[in-house]
Amino acid sequence: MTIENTLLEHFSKITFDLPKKGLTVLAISAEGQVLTQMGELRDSKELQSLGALLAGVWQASEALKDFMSEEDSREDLKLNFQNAHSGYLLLPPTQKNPRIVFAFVFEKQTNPGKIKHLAGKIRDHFDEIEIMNLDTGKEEELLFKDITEDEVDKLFSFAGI
Amino acid sequence: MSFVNHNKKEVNCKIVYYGPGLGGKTTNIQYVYKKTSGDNKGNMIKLNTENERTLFFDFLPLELGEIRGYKTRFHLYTVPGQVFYEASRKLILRAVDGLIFVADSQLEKMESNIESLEGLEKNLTEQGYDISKIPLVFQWNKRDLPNVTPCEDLEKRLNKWGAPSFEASAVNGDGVFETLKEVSKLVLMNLKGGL
Repeated sequence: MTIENTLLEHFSKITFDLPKKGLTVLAISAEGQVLTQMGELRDSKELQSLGALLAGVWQASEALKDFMSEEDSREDLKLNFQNAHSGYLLLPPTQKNPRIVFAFVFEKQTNPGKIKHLAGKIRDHFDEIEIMNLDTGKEEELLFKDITEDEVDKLFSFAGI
Repeated sequence: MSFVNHNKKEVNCKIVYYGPGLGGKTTNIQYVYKKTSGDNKGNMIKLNTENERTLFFDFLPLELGEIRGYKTRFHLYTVPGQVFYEASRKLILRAVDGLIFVADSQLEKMESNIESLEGLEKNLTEQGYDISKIPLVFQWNKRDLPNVTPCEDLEKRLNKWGAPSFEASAVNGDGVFETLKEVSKLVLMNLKGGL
């Protein structure tokens, strides 16, 4: 089963009253790749930008925290940037899922407190369950080991080179 | 780290433009953005200072089409070149799949190039990477200017790994796609089976 399907299966097990509109929940690798999304779905290009920015914010915040003090546990951290109805909330990776950041991007919400409650449920759930070690593949076979010039040329044909 | 989704048949790769300040890293991806059709690109994100210098990173997602049935996505990042943004450069190098070192060819910039390259090696080592094992391409930028170091000297002083290199004038677009294409090929050839 892929990591995307595994995450979605776990999401579906968590019972909550998800707002129908204006909330996207993302699972992002610590390096900015969006692993899956639920809630109000966003197109792939928008997702890539969101993943890069949210992971960048998280990484910078972690580095800043290390700069200030390395002593405290990271697991009870969260990061949010919001007004009364819109913003985002980030949860840190858990010990069992050290490379997954959960992000909640919301807008036009009448009760953002509900999103924090949902975030708490998701954190509790993934505190207990190891999804998958993302650090895989290093010893696997190369995916495109005999790639040809022609194949790469086709990818860049739009650039006229 | 590249992310291969076999279920959706997608590969996602991270390419970082590294090099000294004002060397042309942002100009490279601005040119890529300008010359790529809307279907193939996402929004270009620039996290800049007031005077248009890169503060944290620039980001451009590219969707280049399919290779052997897999949709290929490249995430292009630049690092901030100014010396005092070392902490940011380290963060952006995390999980890098391929590197383009954009060297400034001007004679007086040789020391800046060397300093930046030494910083790159150090930052990679600190994160457990071996520069000789990461797809790396050099770009000798600003070849349109009159006071440039000969390419043979740039090769000798900077390219001790014998990595592929390209002359460029990013401001005119010369060499921009050639460099990106080469590193993309090396990254794809280096991709592991994934998840």
